[in-house]
Amino acid sequence: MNVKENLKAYLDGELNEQERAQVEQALAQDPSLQQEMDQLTGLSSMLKSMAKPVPIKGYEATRERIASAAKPSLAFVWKTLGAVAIVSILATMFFPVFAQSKEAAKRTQDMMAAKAADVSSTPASGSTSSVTDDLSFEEKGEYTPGAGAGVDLKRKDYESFAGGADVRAKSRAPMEESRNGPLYGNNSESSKKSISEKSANPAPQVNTYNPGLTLNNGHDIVRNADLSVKVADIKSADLQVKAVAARSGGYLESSSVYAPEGEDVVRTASYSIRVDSHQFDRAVGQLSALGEVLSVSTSGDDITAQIVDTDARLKAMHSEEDQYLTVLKSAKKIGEILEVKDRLANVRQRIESLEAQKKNFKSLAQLSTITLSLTEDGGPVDKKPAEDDWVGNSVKNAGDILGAVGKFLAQTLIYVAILSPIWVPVLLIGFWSYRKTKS
Amino acid sequence: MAKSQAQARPDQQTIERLVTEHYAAVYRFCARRAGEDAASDLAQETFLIMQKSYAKFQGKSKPSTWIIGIAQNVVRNHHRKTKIADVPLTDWLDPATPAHDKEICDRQALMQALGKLSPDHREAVLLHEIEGHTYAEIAEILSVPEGTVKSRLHYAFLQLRTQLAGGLQ
Repeated sequence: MNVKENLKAYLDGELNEQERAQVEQALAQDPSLQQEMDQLTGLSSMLKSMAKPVPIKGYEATRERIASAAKPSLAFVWKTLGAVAIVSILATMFFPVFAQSKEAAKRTQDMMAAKAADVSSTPASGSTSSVTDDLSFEEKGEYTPGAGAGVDLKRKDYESFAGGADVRAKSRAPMEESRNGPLYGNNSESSKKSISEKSANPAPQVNTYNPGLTLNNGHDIVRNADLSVKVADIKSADLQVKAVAARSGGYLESSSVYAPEGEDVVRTASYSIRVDSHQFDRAVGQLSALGEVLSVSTSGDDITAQIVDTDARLKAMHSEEDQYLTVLKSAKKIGEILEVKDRLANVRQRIESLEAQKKNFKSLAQLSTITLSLTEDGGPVDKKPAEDDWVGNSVKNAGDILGAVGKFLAQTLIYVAILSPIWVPVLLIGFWSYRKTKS
Repeated sequence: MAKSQAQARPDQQTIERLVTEHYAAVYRFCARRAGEDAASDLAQETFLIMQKSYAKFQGKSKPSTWIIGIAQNVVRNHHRKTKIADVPLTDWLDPATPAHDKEICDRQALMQALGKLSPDHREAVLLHEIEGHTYAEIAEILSVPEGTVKSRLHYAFLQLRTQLAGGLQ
């Protein structure tokens, strides 16, 4: 930058020492620079003198505004309250979802464990390799007290046929001991007597809880199967079904056979078979071997919780009974003796009720239900569309997609409308904050 | 450390002191660029922003320069909203003020010459000659290098002298 360009800065005192010396040296040598500097000085002075006077306004208003801005505003309080309200609403709305998710996760975990146990116990069978196996713990059916009698009748047949089950029962005996040990370990004499009677007379098998039903994960499962099989001859299959029911330690609960004579008739039969749970997999395998399996599904009903609960209540009742017996021994007055005996009778009545309930659970767990549908080969079960109607299928698929999209949009609108108490305030607060910030 | 804590939580007395000390300068700054009608609101907005952002003030510059820098942004936003492209010279110059002892040219001619300057050059003249800011302060207010301020003032006065060439004494 040459000296002329520094003249204005020199006049304003904005040059460093070296630049200032350069300018002063040039001024001494060049009189025209001095004239130029005089003009700059004159212009600067004129501008300063022409400055428009500006009266100050609004000072007090600004002071007040600044002071009020320093105080906590109501807007902040409202914003905080709004945020708390929104969080509370969201928590209230979504807590059941979280709880449900947790429960669903637990159910899934139980299902996986039970399925693993079921796979390990399922016999290898070529006929079942291509069918679906649906094991779930959904609550199905209700307990039928009369079912226990059927088990008693067929128990001997089952014992002679299913030797493998005994081995499994023995291997799980320690588990049962550990489960029942604390239950009966400190019982009264009457309770001990009851146990000894049971062990001496094993004839009513249903009264003995058999741990063979306990899966690897310690669950007690009532299992059910739904089987559909296409057979060559419905009559011979009917005989085989009855034989399987007899061999499996169970009985034929109900059957329906439709087998009229004639060539164009589709013969069918349906059965409801109760089998010993140890023989469940074997029975399903044997029934599957009757012909071509069309479908099969199995399910399990977990009654572990009920059994454990009954055991715990029984234990408590026996403990109470012991206490009353102790009191009874030390009681001397007739009134005390009568009162204690009365209470003891009540406790024993409740114990008997619980034991009966426990027996019912055991008998329920010992029996599995197989629902079998037979169809004679040549029936209409496997009929497929004669020709591939791709145009019709395309129209149908497009219609399905359209319906799904419409359903989705309708669901979205419903969600938006129902959740409006949440998003409308949030939107309004956001809009209000935006307007305030903008202003 | 103590200084940074004090900056993080400014006491109300400090804020009010800053308002008292700098309100006039800020009001004039706004009035000369946006007119007196809008000056009060713009000055108030400037100090409200200053109050909110005081914790960010690092003390590298003088408080007056920092506050005028805020006012510059406030005025710029006001111009953007109101679509004002150029500030009238009459907002900050008055040819009717008492005459100077050594007037080297006609005032109206000077006004016309100022009107032909670019907005950047005119702003530099306003900040330095009328409002009395140093080059360093102008550089911070306008967020430009100090050399640019020096250059703008040099060329602004060069252009004024050129415009007034015939009338300069």
